[in-house]
Amino acid sequence: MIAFEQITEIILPYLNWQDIVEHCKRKLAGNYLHGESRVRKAYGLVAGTQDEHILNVKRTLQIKKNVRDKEPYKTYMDRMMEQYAVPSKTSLDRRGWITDPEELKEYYDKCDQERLIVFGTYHMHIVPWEHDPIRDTPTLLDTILARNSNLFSFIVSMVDVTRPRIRAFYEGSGENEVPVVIPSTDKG
Amino acid sequence: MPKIIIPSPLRKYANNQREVIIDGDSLKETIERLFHQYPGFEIMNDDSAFLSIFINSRLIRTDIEKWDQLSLNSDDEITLIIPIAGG
Repeated sequence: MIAFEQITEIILPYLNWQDIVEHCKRKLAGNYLHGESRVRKAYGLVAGTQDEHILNVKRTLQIKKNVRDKEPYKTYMDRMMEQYAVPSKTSLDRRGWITDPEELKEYYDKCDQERLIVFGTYHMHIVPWEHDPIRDTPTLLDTILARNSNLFSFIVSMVDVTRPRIRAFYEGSGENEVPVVIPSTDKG
Repeated sequence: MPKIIIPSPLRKYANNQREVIIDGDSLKETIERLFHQYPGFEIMNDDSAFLSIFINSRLIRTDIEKWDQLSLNSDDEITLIIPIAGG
């Protein structure tokens, strides 16, 4: 199997693109599912198949639980925030997310059963920054947190909800972007 | 011997295997042997990674210092998970 570092393209069918964007819009509107953490953050997994240097997205899975405020994660995330987060109008203790390991295991098991590989995560950025008004690239904190994950970080810019953008970066590094291609035939 | 299940993002550290068999009487010993046999897993010692361990699908909440007291049966199935985080 070719290592993810050598992937040249990610095919994201329009329906999967829509799933991600609709998830983000739902969270932005404050509509929460049963058992879902009540935070205006959307993040999930991206799974699919690999064909040599190309990854094909087959499904996305919405993560419901955020354990950022539970120990031992809270202490760790507070420290990461202090060290690496760019100041913003959202206070540090309200920023950041960590998936619940039990939920994550459930999704890994599900993908294994469907013979899909989990190759990415997605999360949205919603607040424009002066030096980065679109926010469709990883922050330093995103990069630090994705280090050694062997996953692509799909950054969903929802700064303008009418013009969502999705870009993918191996291990959340701005230097390792891989083009996300939405097949034109999907869009109708 | 206990079987260790590797989630897909971590399989590159185990020669792309979904599961590996590692001999060990305790959880500590088994994990140490895994790290020795597949050195790539040393990334889990990095503080960016929280290693969550499941034994037979049950999340282990025991402190890492006490993993030597967790004995394993030969048919136990261990799953390694690194929770995913973002800013």
